Amino acid sequence: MKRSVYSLRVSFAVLGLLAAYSAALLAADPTLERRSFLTEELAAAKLKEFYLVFDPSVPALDLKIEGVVVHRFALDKAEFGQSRFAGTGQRQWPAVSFSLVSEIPEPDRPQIEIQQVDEADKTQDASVKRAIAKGQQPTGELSQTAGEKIARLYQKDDGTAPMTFALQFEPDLVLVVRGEPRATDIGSRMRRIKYTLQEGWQGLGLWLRNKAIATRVVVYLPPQDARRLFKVLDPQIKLLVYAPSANR
Amino acid sequence: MSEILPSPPPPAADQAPVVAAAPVRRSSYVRFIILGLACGGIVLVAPAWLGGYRYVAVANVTPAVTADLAPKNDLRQIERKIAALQPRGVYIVVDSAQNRLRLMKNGQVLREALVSAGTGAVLTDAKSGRTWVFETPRGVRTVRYKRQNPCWHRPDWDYVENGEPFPKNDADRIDCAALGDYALYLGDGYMIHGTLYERSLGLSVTHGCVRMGAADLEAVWKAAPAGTKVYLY
Repeated sequence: MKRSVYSLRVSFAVLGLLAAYSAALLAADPTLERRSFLTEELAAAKLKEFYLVFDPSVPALDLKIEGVVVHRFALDKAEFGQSRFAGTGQRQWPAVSFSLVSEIPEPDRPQIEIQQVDEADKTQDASVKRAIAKGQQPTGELSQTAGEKIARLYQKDDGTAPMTFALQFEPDLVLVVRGEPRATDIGSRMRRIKYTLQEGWQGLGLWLRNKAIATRVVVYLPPQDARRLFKVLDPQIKLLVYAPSANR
Repeated sequence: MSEILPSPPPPAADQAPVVAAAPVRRSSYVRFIILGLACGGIVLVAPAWLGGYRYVAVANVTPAVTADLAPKNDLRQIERKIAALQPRGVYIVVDSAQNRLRLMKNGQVLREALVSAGTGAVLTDAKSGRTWVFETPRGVRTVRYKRQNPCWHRPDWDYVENGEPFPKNDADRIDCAALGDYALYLGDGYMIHGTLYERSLGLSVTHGCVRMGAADLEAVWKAAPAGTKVYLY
């Protein structure tokens, strides 16, 4: 009886080792990684919607649609973080493809005031337009349009979008965007200390409540790029993790 | 004979007597404060450290694999399928926040131009209660058709915005000067066209169309046939 229990334990241990070995082999297969990425990219490209591709080797975030890169966000630095409670094992992305679940607020929309154009301006505009239509040099300028007034009042990239923000993706990924690269002033250092303390306390709180602690990816890029990135986000936009071809 | 010793001088009235214990007490206060700060720091930092993250460079992280991969497609096939979705000839990319248009081919920029895109503003007609949002659409469109010397059929919002009454005759809505020399039609009333307001190129001033300067517009009009893909973001 004792012997059979012992042999059963040994066989379980051997099976466990084999499973771990095959999982390690599977995870480290670049062809399989590439195939997984391409399969997910094909699915995203077919949707004819924007998606993000994170290339860890550069590092960069590409905004793509139909497989075409329309904008590249070059990152100053990108870090992958796992909770201390997750242990010190090998770091692996939780998935190949993620979907944004954080809500994206509607942008502020200025209201256009109805134009009160006086007769003198109307006459001037008509004369300028006639001159342009005839290919002549107009005397005077066209009066300011409603769009021009709005543009002067609300410049789109004038700080309306946040510079530092966290985006929750499913499954279990938080992408933290920090538009403050290599800032060494005391204010930036204090802000980073505050973020670190906050995420630590949050992690501890989740662990105490027996909830999953999401993997964090922190990317650093120039402030204007961080704002631009915020503006290109669509609700439920997909984020794919790039895998290079095996022979690269 | 007894010797009379001089007595020590009395302390001045405004001079506080020296207390021997004072330096000791001050240092104990400092110690107490340092100890308090250290304890507070440990209480604040230790749980944050414990619940915190270990960070590594992303390049050192192993990519994931999809568990349920369809076995039928090999790498080349999937790459071919993605390539088939991409435009074969020239295509246009419009960055509406930066007000830039790029004429592209095979990922290479053939020409970059300053443009004007939508304000993102809202116009409300107080009389009818109708509302318009002047935003350049996002996503993918195609050039449906092109026109040289295009004329514009002024929509209702243009009259509302300018505080003008709607014309009784539809022919009065035609304006053949506003769109410049060329227009590329993208559907739903959106166009890439010229402008009388070249002074505003680089600013978000339009009602959703993409306005270009005359020289750039001519180059794009010549290079992009009907069917050209236009990516707007």
